[in-house]
Amino acid sequence: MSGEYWPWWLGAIVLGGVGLGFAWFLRAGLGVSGVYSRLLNWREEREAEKVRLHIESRRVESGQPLPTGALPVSLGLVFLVSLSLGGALAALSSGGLAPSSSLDPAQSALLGGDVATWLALAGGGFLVGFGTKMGAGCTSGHGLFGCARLQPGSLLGTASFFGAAVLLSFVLAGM
Amino acid sequence: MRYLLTALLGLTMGFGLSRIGFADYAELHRMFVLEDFRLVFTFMGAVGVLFAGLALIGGRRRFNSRRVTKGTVAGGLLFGLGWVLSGACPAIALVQLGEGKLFAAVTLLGIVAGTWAYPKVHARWFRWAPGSCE
Repeated sequence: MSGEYWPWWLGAIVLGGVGLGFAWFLRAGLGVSGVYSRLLNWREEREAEKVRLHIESRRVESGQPLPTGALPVSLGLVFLVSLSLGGALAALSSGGLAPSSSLDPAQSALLGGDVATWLALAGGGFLVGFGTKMGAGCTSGHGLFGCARLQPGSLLGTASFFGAAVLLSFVLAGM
Repeated sequence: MRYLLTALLGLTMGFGLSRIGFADYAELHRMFVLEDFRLVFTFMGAVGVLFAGLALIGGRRRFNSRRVTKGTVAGGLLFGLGWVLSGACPAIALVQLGEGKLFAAVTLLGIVAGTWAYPKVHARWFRWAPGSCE
């Protein structure tokens, strides 16, 4: 199976490059869970952005460097949609896009059947949303962008979610 | 221009995550039971690339700091359990959906529900500053 996928160094360059692109071109940190959160609070976020735009225009006038910050709501939406389109592009370029509602057989086998897997998708998804919001970061925001900046919250957060994932996977594999 | 760049970065990341195999449960499981370290090396390599790149452009300190809060460990543990159960992190659910794995719509709904529910739970029961996901 691994043979079909990119070698680690190519994946590392692409993912690291995307993070750098965020920092350099967008002056924003990479963090997908934060985008979800801001999209859910888009009304308040739009108000906050107006204030930020005002501050930025004042900075441009006075020749100060522009501040960095979160991805604005509209760009966040573009980002999430294009993440999905990127997945579609990958499927299209390797044998074609064939939408299917069938579950992943490996996941189903590990979790003990289809019903359990559907429940795990919903419940696990909920835990992902709840946990990333509680821990203030996900794989991209903590794991990639935060760890690369040696942020204490990100290093501890990444160790926590990776540790829990390893532990539960061993438990499930042993059952 | 920013829209175009954001779309390009999103497309590249979505395409890359799919090609790396992060959206494939079997690959993910092999990483978590420490059978295959390709995904771990990918991740560590990406952190290395980003660390070096940010140092070059002088951007390491310009972004929001991510401090440890009372929710860091607990939130991380819950996320880790959810990641194994659903096979997805917030980016991967979208990539899976794009790949044509329609079951990921359920994961996505779960993630949105969890992201929506946490602030309510936090306001009701927790007393610490929640930190930001930026």
